[in-house]
Amino acid sequence: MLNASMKSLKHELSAISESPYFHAIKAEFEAEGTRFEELAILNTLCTDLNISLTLKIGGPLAQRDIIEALQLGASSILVPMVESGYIAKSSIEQFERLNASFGSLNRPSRIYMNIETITAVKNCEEIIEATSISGSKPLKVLVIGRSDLAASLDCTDAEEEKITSMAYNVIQTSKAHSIKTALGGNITQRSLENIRFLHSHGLNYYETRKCTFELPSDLDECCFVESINRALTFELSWLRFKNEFYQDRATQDNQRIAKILKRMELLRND
Amino acid sequence: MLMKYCREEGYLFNSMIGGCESIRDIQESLTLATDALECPAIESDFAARKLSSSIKRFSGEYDLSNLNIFINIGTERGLKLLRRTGISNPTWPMSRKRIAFLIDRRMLVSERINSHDGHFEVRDHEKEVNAAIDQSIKLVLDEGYSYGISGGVTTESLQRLSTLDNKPQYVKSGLFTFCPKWDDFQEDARELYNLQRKELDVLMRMLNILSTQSKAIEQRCDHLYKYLVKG
Repeated sequence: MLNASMKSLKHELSAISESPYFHAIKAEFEAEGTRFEELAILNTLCTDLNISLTLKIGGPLAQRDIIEALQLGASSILVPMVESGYIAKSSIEQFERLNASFGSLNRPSRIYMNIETITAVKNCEEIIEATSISGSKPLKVLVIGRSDLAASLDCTDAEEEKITSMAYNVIQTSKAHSIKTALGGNITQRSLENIRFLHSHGLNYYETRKCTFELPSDLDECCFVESINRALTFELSWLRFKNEFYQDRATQDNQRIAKILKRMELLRND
Repeated sequence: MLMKYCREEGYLFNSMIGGCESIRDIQESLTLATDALECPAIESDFAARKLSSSIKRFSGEYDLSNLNIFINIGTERGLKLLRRTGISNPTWPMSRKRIAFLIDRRMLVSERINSHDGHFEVRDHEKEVNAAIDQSIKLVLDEGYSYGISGGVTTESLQRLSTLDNKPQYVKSGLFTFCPKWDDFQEDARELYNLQRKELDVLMRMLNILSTQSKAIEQRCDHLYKYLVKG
């Protein structure tokens, strides 16, 4: 059973990698709470299929998460909840120090940061400036997390004009510093219009919980919808795989429980 | 290893998580039966709300009423948040007394003097930093939360902290956090000294374990180098 779902997961992973605009697979220690062994499985499959893996760590100063992401050879590390220049600088310095050691064994990873609260939007310029270290700019992408941004403003809909306008501002600031931008958070068919608008002003990527897509110069509606559907299908097969992974362990324990109960019954009867 | 040490020595165990929504860290810490969670880098009311809802995700699986929470404040923005609004009403699955704002003085000084290399002494800036903390903490204390400090903790700094209007309930020095009584300075200083001695002992043991591992790699490198290069 587990083998079947593993095969299905690999099949879906292969399919998503060939879907329109596909860029990378995502996993996270943060909200998704991916465990290390789950991540190891996903990482092995990604390596086999030559797919980039972005790993979202638990927080800007989560050193253990960075070490584990680098041990696995994640192509990119996404840092959530960066809200000030000081924390951004501390985070990037920690990443650079560790990446320098691990980078000599694996390919060096890239660092991305989430802008996902009103505080972070306000401090976007300060955050970007703080991440420049002696002339070099390790920060490659800013990911605008619309769901949390909306929540921090007590909005219920990520498609609201207010959110798009803030995303626009982040994109403009990033562009001025040659930093790419991605848009995430509740991306559905409804997001197409806003993505088109933001793309025309420099947005580079959009992302779902599990996949990142690179925006082409001519964004096609059918391909966009297909990419979202593929991403959801992949996420579903990932969740099914995890479900069976743990179910399989529970089944093994249940078999042992039945055996012990039978032995105890035999002892009582003797 | 540290958890076992704490259990054997009769200390509570505090686990530092990666961030306010570090679900994996919270899950693992609760599985280890941690007594406290510490969350770094809180700078906004939203981050505190995120922390509260991340912890509450586990209220079905674990009894969280006895869990202690340390919320790290290490930036001027974090202090401002405490001063201006407090933490506006996230609900917690434990009493507010169990939630302490832990002010990281080393981080605050580092931000103030714009130094990220750690080449400074907290004591050189202690007067201003302590005053800023003292002014910032009143509102959250009135709201029923606790507070503590960390960074540059020495016997002298304990003396300086004892003069504050709002004395910290917790003082964190490296691996150990303790609750000074403040009415008997000699006893507090003795406690700090004992804990710092213990920390040195624990760190040396940890260093020993790590160097045993690196020694094995070093020996293999030596062996290969002699065989491949020297012939």
